[in-house]
Amino acid sequence: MIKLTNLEKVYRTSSIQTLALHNVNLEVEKGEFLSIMGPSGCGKSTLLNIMGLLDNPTSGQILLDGHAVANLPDRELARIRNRKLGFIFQSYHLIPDLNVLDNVELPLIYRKVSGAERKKLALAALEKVGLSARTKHYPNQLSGGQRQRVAIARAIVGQPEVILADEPTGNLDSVMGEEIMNILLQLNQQDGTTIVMVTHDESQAKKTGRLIRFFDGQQVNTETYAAQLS
Amino acid sequence: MWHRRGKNFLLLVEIFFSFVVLFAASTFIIEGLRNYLTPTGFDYKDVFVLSIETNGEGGASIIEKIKQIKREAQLFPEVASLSLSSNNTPYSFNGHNGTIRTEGDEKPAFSHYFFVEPSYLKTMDLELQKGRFLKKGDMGKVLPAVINDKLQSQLFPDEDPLGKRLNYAGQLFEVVGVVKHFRQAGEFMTPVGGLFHLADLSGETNNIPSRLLIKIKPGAGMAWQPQLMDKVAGIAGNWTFEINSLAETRADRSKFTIIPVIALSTVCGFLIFNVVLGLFGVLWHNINKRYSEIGIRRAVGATKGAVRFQMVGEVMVLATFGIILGFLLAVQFPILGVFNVDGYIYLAAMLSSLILIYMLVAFCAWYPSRQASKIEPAEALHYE
Repeated sequence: MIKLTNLEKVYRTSSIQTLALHNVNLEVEKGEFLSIMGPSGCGKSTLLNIMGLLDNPTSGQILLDGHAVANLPDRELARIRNRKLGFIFQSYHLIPDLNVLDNVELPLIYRKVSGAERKKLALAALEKVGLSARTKHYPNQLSGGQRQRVAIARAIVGQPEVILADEPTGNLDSVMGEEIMNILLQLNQQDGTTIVMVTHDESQAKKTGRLIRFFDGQQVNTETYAAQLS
Repeated sequence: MWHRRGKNFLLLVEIFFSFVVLFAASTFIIEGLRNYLTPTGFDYKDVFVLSIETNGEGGASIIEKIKQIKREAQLFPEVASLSLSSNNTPYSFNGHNGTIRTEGDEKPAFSHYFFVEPSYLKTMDLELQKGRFLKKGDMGKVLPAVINDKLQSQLFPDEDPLGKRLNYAGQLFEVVGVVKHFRQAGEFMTPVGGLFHLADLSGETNNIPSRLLIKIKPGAGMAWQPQLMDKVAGIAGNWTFEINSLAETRADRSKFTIIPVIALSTVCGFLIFNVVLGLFGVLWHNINKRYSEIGIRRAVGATKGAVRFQMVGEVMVLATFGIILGFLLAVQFPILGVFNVDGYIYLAAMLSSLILIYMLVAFCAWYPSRQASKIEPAEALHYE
């Protein structure tokens, strides 16, 4: 599904050069639930951003479904992000001026789906995350857990093959975190969605199929588990 | 956009005021341009004005002296044509004007008045549109008069003005002819009514001419001027005479008009520049504050172009609201008929302001939108 080969990422300023990723080789299989763990600043989010085509590697190759995506034009990258990938962020990244329904419909707007169809699909996605009663609310009227459910609904509304989740439970208490984790596990196990999740929570990471540990921009360990709903 | 109405209100107000400023400047410029491109209705080239100041001398004797001055001037071979005239000669700052009314229905119009001789037509090269010009003996209780086409359009828009009577402060006139365009103050004058009647050389009224317009033959040189001044000084030694070409008077009058225009244009230019700076600043600030949103939109599939379109499009919608408010204000001017400016000038000013505002707003929004769309989505998502 996703294959990273000899991936390097260097951040350069006029006075300093920081190696964020070094020689990363990683393959994510279709339908897999992969978690990535490591201390802050070890390059986890950078890796996720590169996988999600939100950032460019300094060197190395990214294959998506066997196709190299490194030098694709902006329009094509946008199309892949829109159709194949869904994102969930630690700080939710909802647009505060849009209500829940409009936030969830956002990816479909760039797919040029009709208004009625957008609404139908967005309501279905919100139903899936148990938030269909809050469609007219604005993000600032929701709790952290509810905001993250909206973010998940937005990520799955276009039925992407891959969901990239960057510390999706990082801002939530343990109960809310469990709920969000269960939704992700269901998406993986029932819908077959491939999920790559960056987390600091060891217990949640161990619920996924494979855990890769990072340190100083490099993979240091891989562990496999049987994915489980709590 | 509706949910950002508080933040957008300031921008909307700024666009509204920009439109109003541009509308005022456009009205002024378009009217000036229209006036400049409209014929003045006379030819100033090779025409000189001999100003005659009697220095308090009155009575019938001055008429004889004025006639003698004219006769002496006529003797110069350089002179092609000449006419005595009231002192409001072309480009001069003198004026005789007031409200004239049609007899009967009392329809009013503002008009300038000129008392001249029949040879004024040839001397100033007026273009007769209808009827005849003044002729010798055009005197009486009802004075035959020639009006310009502006006065005709104001008083007799749908009928033949010939034979119609006009009343100005108790003096009756009968229209015998119409001349085209005539604007005494020249190129920058807004078209207004004008009425010519015969100068009184009998001494019975106060309409005694004090200017002699002299048209010389092309290439005649200037030698005749000092000779003429000597002759007229011999006729009336205690009077004061001055001779000027209409070309010089025109240049002086143009300076008088152009300098305020330049000053006003400079002020308008600075205003527009400030508006552009203000708009640019507000839009730059607003768009920069939306980097996180731009990152989200890029992450869910927006192209750089879609982001630019979104940002510029929103500002254009705001501009439309600001322009609609500006239009509501601007349209009051032609409806209420303030400032005596033609309706089509206001309409042209509204259209040009609209186009300019859209161009300014698009320009001011495009650059910050372009810069914002260039940021990598991952970087944009870090902004909060």
